[in-house]
Amino acid sequence: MTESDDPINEIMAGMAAGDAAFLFAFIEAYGPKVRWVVRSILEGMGRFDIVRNADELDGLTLDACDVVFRRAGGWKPGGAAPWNWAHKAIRADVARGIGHRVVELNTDDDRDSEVGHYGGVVSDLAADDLAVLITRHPRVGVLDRAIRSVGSERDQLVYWEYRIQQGMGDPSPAHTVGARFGLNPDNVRQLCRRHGKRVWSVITADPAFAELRDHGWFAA
Amino acid sequence: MTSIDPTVVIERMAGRLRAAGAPHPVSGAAAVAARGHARMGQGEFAEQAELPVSVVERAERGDTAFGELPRRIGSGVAATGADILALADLEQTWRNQPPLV
Repeated sequence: MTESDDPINEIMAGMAAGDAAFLFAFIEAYGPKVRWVVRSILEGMGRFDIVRNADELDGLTLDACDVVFRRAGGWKPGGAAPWNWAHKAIRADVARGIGHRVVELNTDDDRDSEVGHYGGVVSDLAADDLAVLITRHPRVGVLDRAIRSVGSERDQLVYWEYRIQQGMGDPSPAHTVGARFGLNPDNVRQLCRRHGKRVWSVITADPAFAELRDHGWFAA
Repeated sequence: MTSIDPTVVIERMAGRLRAAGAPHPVSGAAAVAARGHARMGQGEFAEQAELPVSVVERAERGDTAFGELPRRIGSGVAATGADILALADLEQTWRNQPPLV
């Protein structure tokens, strides 16, 4: 199947035009994938009680599909799957739906990005999910400290997001992250290359980060 | 992976049509779902169903009662796998309740 044959393109185009019939088609075809994303978000928040409640889980999944519907106009064919592309907005919606805390993220730099359009308050995937990951895997905490030891806060966030998208299988993380932060994809790649080199310099120079020297992210 | 129950999806869409004041929100949402299941725009769906586009539009706006939906749209609703009896029951229940302000 070529990229243009992918049924998701037609469905997303229909949703971008505001046609609710294609929202139904999206839920019918991809609802289980969105549910999986919602489920993983809930698990990350420790809300296993909701995960076990099928009706509540499906309600949140339908809310998440609405999130994708409202944002469909910004999605680009060939990019990340819509449920990955809109992950941050879905997570914010889930958090709001269940009353989970959200974190202010907006800065002047991302005023015009998708983050900025989200009413000024967004859930920070990196901050919240990383907190869980760091608790479970101390090495992630060391990695986080290394990444946040150099560059501006925005560069650190872009770098983390880029790596997270890459890790989730996004075939074009620079486009996804660029759209989110209002940056050109080339700039995202350049920023991440530069930030990665700076992090690597710190890792090689500072014994506190010695355990990261074999980390695949910084190889070559 | 289990699918999302289409009846629930239609009920939810119907809730929005009802809030917008549609006289037959459930049949409207069901008509929208029928076209969504077919993955067609209104023009293509009307042509395939041999109906004027205006008929499809009216049905999807919720202006057509369940029992008066054209047969082609009705069979499209059935193809979604939704529980038609439950949907008709919801339409009836809402009809007997005061309209939303």
